[in-house]
Amino acid sequence: MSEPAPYAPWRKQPFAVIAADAGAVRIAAANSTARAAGVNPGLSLTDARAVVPTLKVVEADPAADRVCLDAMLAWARRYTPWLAIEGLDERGGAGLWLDITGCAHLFGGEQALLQDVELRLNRLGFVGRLGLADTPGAAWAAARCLASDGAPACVPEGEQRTHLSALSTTALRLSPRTLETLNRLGVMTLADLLVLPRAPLTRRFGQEVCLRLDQLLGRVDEPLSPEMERLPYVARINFAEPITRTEDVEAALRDLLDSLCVRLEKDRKGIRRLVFEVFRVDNTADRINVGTGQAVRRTEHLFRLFREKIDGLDAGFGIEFLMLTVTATDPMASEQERISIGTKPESERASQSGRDLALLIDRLEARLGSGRVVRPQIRASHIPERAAGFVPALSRANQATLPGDVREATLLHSDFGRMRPGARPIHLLPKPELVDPIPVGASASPTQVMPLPGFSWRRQTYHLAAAEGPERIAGSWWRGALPPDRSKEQQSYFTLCQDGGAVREYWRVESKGGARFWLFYLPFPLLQSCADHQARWFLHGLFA
Amino acid sequence: MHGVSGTSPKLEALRTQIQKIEGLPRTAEDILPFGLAHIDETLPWGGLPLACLHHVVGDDDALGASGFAPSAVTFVATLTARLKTQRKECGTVLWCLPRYKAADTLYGPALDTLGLSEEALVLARAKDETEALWAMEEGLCCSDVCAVIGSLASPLSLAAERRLQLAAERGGTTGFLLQPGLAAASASAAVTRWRVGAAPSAPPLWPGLGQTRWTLTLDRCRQGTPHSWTVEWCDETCAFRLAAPLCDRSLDQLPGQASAHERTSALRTVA
Repeated sequence: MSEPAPYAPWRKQPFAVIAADAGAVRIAAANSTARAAGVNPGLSLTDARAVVPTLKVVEADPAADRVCLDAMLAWARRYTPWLAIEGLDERGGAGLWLDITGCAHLFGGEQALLQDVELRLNRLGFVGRLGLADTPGAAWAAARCLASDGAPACVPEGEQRTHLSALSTTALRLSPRTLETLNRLGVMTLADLLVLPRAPLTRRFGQEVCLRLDQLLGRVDEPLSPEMERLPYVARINFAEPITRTEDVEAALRDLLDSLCVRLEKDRKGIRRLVFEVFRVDNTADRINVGTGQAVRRTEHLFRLFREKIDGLDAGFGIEFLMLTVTATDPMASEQERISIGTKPESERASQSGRDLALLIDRLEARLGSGRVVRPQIRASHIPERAAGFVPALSRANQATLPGDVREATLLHSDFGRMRPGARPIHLLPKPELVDPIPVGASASPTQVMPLPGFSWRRQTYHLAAAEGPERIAGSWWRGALPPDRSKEQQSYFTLCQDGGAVREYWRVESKGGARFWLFYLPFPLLQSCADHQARWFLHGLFA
Repeated sequence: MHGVSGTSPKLEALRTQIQKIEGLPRTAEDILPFGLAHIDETLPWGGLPLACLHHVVGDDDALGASGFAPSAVTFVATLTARLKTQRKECGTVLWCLPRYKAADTLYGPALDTLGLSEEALVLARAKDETEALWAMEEGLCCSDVCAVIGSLASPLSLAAERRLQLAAERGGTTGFLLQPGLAAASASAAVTRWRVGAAPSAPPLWPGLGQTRWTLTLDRCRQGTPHSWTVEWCDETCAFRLAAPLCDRSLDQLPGQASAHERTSALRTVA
């Protein structure tokens, strides 16, 4: 691979990739124009600039190379399933191996295949150097030393010796030190090397030289370890006869789950989301989605999540096949399933605890719907309705992963914002409800501070016996004044209280029967329409 | 511990056998004491038995019509919070309630002061009562849950209650059925049935509200006798105590012996 596609406009100009190497910036790779001008890999950038002042350079990025090669590997799967990435190291640049054994005839022969690869690579914006030979070693040599940009090299079957012997020893994938020693000894080409006796070569250089030579000539097998395609986690089951019974579907689902769980176990993953698809004989399909709060790999648990939904399944004329797809996974370490017989040790019980709860929450969510299983949350706000909220029971945010400032605010709240026991009602109405006060003077008690003698709410009249207050709660003045463009109908009292920064005076009151209420009074009228005393008392909560 | 003493050992053995069949607690750790001698002595187990079903009904007449039972809710929340502290290793409370009903207006900060903190409580909002009952049953069978509360608007059938009771026995979890008002006194599979209503508080020495008071009625109790108390609920200590007039009177009475005055007209069959 010469240049990555983003630099395609520079293809005609001298262009090189540089990398820092032992204190000097050196050329890591150069395109054909640059090489023609004398800029070869290994040259320092200063020297290269002296040779070609207009040299365009870009820094090497091995990570991006890897990503690009992965993408190309996926692309090259069109030619053969047996693929590998070759040599992402400093020597010779990286490349792809394609083992086209038994594949070439599909593309009209080896030459045609080479041309097809060349053409398609060009269309993708790459310039490729392609070599084709009997052995990986020979193909490597052909691609790097025999081929040029746009002219693939094909070594005919069994003729490595004749075609490649003129090449220099750099075609052998040897380490730089070995290469240098060989050159010093005057061994410059493969032909020089081939006439040398093997025993002294091995004594002098170890196995390396002979091995590479044998691999090139095909005397030693060099297997490629292919990058296998990552198969999606899908399991499918076909029935010879359409099935209709729920029991059969359940049994099949168990089998599917089992097979997926075994695969996930190998990959150390757990299921977060699953789709179960049911295909009927009349070409209709149903899908059931389930999700889990934590990664799960237990057939029994997953099966129970489905069982809540499988009951309502309509089999129609019969079910032809079933498919189970994992749409989301999370990493999950392998764990030992329970093996202890008899009583469980304490440590295991501790690790077990919390898991049952997670599974219970999953089951509840599967049946009740997502977001229906919640935990209460106390928030840092002095406004009662904002001080409480709900979060999903298994959400991450709940597990002390709040950002620092939020947690600090919560801590602050928990320190001195935490309510005095009994100061807040057990029930807080979602919206404060307007109450009808009994006019003052009808049955006022002279001995106690009473804001009002009584009120009626939801068609019940309550006469008050005692009261405590007021607790004045200012609104969120920083939210600004009311937007004036809203119509009066829209401006319910509650939005006025909440958005308008209205001050509320809360009273805890007790009726003659003993029931306790949390009432508030708006000391400042918000609208002309509620300026009178009548429309300024609201019920917000109920005490025990 | 038992109300009747000095019986023959044969009868005692028979009693034990029946208790074993009924699956009621024998050991102290299966009991939640109220911390109030008068109530604990009335209950045949010396406290509230665990791993079974209890029925708590709101008795706030006017509020019950709107579906609210703040006293009963607080009573149950208090009991479960205590239960949670008593059973340290499995400390989650599952509260099943129907959505969009008066029951679903629980206020977190207040629950927190009662002892049901954010981490300890999981709310399951069900579409209808069938779903809520299913969720309760699932919760009762879960080993990580120490108590399950179900807020329901309508009375349950005997079969449904029995199912929950069996699930509670099987899972070792305590269940509380919470209803805003009782339509009619029906047969019940629950071990106890309580009626909780607000009572007028004693005026304090300073202006303001006195301590919360409840009329706590033990309507029915397996192996026990119905009873009624007026208790005072202390916010600060999260503890009950008998309201002052009763306290004074109980001094000159033998403990556990209720006067006719204390018994309410709610006395019905002894289960």
